[in-house]
Amino acid sequence: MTEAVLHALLFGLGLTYTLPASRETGLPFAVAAAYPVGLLLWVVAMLASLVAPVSLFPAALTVGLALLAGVGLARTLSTLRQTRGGALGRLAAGCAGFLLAAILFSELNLAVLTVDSFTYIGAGRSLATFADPSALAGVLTNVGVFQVLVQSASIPIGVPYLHAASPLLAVSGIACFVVLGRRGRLALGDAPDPGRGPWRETAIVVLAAVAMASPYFMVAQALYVHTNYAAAIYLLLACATFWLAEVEDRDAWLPFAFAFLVAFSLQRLELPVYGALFAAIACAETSRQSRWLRWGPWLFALVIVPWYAYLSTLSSEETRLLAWDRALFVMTGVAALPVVAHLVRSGVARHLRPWLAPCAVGLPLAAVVASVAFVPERMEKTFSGLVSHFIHPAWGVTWLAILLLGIATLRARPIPLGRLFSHGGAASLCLIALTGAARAGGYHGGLTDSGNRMLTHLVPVAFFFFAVSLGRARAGHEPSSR
Amino acid sequence: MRAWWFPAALCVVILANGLLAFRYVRELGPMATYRITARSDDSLAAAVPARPAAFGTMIRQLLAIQSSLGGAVLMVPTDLSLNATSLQLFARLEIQQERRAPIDPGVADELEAESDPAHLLLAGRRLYVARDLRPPWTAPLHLIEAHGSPRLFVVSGARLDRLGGSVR
Repeated sequence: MTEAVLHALLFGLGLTYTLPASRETGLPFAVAAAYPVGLLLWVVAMLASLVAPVSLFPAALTVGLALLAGVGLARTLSTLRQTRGGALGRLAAGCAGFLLAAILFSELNLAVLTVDSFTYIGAGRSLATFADPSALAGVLTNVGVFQVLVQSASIPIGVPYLHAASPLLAVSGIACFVVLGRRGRLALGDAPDPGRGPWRETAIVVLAAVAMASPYFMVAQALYVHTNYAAAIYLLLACATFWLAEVEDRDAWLPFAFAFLVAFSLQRLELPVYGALFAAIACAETSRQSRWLRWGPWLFALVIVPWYAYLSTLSSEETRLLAWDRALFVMTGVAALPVVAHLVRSGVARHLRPWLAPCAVGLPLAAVVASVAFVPERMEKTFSGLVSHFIHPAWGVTWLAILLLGIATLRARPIPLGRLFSHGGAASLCLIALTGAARAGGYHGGLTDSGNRMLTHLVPVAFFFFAVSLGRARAGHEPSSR
Repeated sequence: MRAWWFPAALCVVILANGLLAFRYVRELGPMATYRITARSDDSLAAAVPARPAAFGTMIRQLLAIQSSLGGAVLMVPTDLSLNATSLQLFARLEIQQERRAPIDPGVADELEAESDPAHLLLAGRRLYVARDLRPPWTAPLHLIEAHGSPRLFVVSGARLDRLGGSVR
């Protein structure tokens, strides 16, 4: 029950940030996204307080959380004053639904743990106890920090580890899939006939969400104390909110998009590069002129680059993954994002804007081809590992479905900002292959292999793309060419 | 005019994934084979982190779980050699755990065949150090699946090695 209280508090913390925006983004999104936002705020508070001197740690964390909650609460109270009774009732129902899920998953320990899980749990508990990241150099330069900091919350509430965090994030992610997908389909002009509810659009998006979550490996990972399902959910949220800003012509989605992109990038050490690619495609492809598109990439870089600069100072002989040269590569990629975004949007490279998305796929693809030439043995192992991942029985027919539905989208009416999904997904596949090439043994093809888990990141994004692209009315509103 | 093929295709995907998941779990066993039972929670809570090594915390937690499960085998796949301090630490922790259950000889045989382990006698119990098990990491996990035992826990020997001299 103690864990349920913690999750309810994180949900409440997130709600204080999602609710003030709900006049534009809607109450269902405010409730569905509250927990992912709350988790991110906890992680940001922990990360910021760890930078403070060790002796100030608990106080710095408390002050940080109080500030975050205070700022959110002030805006929420003013929103609530203007909210009508019916909306308050729906809000209360949404909160009650989350609370029930929190109690259910806290009481039923369904957690799946492997060796990696113990790394996150042990490091998180150690950080929350001693607030000394330098003592954990060997861990922090080998795994992403997000799940470590999530598990650090087990110390203040006195439980061994958080077993409900993963399933609650999964449930919130699926709820967001439905809410955002339904809004997207309606915004694309698939409005229901007068007098009939938008039941068909809702049904299609629900079916797509269930299809996304139905493979055995997705179910197992929803319970797994690990990074990949969380990364998949945050990438979905980032892409979907970027996309909705475009199709709904609403800036209110953009701060969420960049926040979710930060959460995605902190899940694993290599993910900031993926995040920067998605952000670059979004900034280049969107037709919007918003201050968030100017400042968002800078904020993203301002969180990621200093953290990686700090991690590079921790690099030692214990470091297997993030040696200083790789840290430098990630920092360069992320720092280049705001510069590239500025140049292609308003600078001297405006005419290159339509080419950025193809380049985002072309450059990693060229690197894959070069790797085949220079490290053929590794690439052979990587490719054979990836092929065995795609046909692994734990995925069911997911990858066959993604292939066939992906082909179907080529014949469907294009959606605005569609390249964010298609080119972002293709670029990610190339980067996953490159990540395998960077490992001495490539991918080994097992169920819990890193390559197999990383493929998870693409599944919700792909099904969301299909949910908003396919099965739409053949006549009616035509979106803009972008 | 609306296309009905898409919702129909999604229904097929859901049905196929459900059936294949059922078949997968029945034939190969669920991933929850690796689940820690609820009984281990108290032991985990009791494991107090020891400054400065989180790895020490982890090892202690794993040993506490072992203890709560009635004396399981701790298998250490390692790509590095264990130094004397690590082994002393390990022996000390082992002594504290009051082992009860015997080691499954089947697991030992298979480990030997799989990875040429060095067997060390520690506090009256054998510790299996399976060297050069990585990659693939899945080898010990397959062993767990083969024996259907949730009592095996795997720790990276590289991590254990870093314990040397750093855990009090």
